[in-house]
Amino acid sequence: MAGLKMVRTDSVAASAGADLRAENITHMFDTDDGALLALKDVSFTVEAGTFVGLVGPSGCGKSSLLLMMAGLLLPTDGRIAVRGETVSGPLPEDIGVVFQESSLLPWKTARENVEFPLYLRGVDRQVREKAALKMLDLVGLGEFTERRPHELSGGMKQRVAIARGFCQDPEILLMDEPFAALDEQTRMTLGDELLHIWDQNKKTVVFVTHSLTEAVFLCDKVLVMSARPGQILKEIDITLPRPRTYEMMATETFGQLRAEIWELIRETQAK
Amino acid sequence: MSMRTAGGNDDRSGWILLLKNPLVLRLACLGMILAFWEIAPRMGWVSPVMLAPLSATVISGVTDFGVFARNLGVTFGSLALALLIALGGGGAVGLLLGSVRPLRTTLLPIMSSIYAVPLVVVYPVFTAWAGIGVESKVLFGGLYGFFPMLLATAAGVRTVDGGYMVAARSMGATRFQMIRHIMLPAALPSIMSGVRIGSAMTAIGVVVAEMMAATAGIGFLITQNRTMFNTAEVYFGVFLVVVLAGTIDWAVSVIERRAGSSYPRKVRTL
Repeated sequence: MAGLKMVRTDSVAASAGADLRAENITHMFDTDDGALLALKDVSFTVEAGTFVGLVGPSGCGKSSLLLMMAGLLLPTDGRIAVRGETVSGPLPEDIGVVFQESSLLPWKTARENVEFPLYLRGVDRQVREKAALKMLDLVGLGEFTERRPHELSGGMKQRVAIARGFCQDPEILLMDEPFAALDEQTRMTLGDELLHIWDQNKKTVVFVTHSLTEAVFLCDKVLVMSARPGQILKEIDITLPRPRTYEMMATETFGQLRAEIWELIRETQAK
Repeated sequence: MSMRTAGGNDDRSGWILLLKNPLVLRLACLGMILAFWEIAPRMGWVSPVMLAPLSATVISGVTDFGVFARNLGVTFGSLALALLIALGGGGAVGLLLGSVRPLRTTLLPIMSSIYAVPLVVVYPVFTAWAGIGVESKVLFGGLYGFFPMLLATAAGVRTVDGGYMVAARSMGATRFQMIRHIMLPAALPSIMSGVRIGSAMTAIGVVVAEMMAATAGIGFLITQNRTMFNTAEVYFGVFLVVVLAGTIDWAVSVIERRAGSSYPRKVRTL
């Protein structure tokens, strides 16, 4: 059974990513006070192999949008399409998610957590073990593979979560504020490492964040959303060259881009 | 080494240290109880009808060894079957009720209410249905442990962190994989407490059933000897029930240790 499934064992540097489109997405939530319009006519395209950020004020529907892209929530109207095909449920081989707070299973070791998506798919033990160890090594946790989550620091846990995302080896990786719970320094380090890994396999990444610095530093393009009902206010191309370096943060371009995003968010929040 | 011994009586502090050892204290307490057990009836402090001396109890156990062994076997056999109903059935139904929302909201409150009813009152009905053989006490014991197991399992499953479920779903887990790899392990601590309470309750149920109406078993022996004022035999029967409870407790801890070996000491609890 397991042998029949084609799985790329060299999970790094294999897939080139797929494109993802949101087409006229409108979403209503049922609340006690009646229907609440959460997202209004949201459309955007994420080109294959690009790193796209999603920023916006709290409660603007970023996380709902991400759940829709993951096939975990169906929009009231409109559709999400991967390679032109509508997403109507989880597509683990196409789309992976790295969640906000570490959703690692506490009863599994780091390695078992990382290989879990491959296990669910029926991949052979040796193959998935090898892939998991390789990913853990890549995120700098080669010595902690047999530790359980409660024995790891917050930063290490998110590293495991990222390793799990990449080990699942989807074409598109959705990240829902993966570094939100971390301190500034750890956050910067992990962002840098994430770029390093991404550089090797160029998956399509959609990265939801609250940190504007993080958004500019990591992304090719940043989608700025309005306050509720969430709409795309502007798509900002981050013109900084790659590979990104910390020195770029001190440049005028970086400052301008960051200021431009902030201006948009400030305005929409004020309304 | 310590400052305490300086200028103090070394001999005495040695005694104190010994008495601070919980194992020593426990054995000392046990010894005193056993001594009281032997001495009190012999000295006439309590009537021998109320309490047979320890030695008489042991002697009755040795002389009637065959009878006790046979009846203990009957009780253990009934208990094994009853545990199957209580833990297996209760666990399965608890899993179902805990995870399927409509069932949970309609049936779970009813189950909690039934758990609050002293089930002893329905035992006569059981004997009417199933006679006074093995069947009725297996059913009764099983039912006794069924509800605590069901409720603990349902509670464990219901409170599984939704984040794990969403993550597993995004990774493409099937419904079965979800139960096997997320719900069961996440609910394990709660399920194990259900096993602990459920098996103790089942044992109580079986013995009580035997005491009320049965043709064999330790509970039956206790009742029978009590009506004949064979106090020593009654106490030996009680002793065997203690052994029975101890065996269950030991078995549960073994399971707990094996099941919990892959579980962190401190889990994010709910």
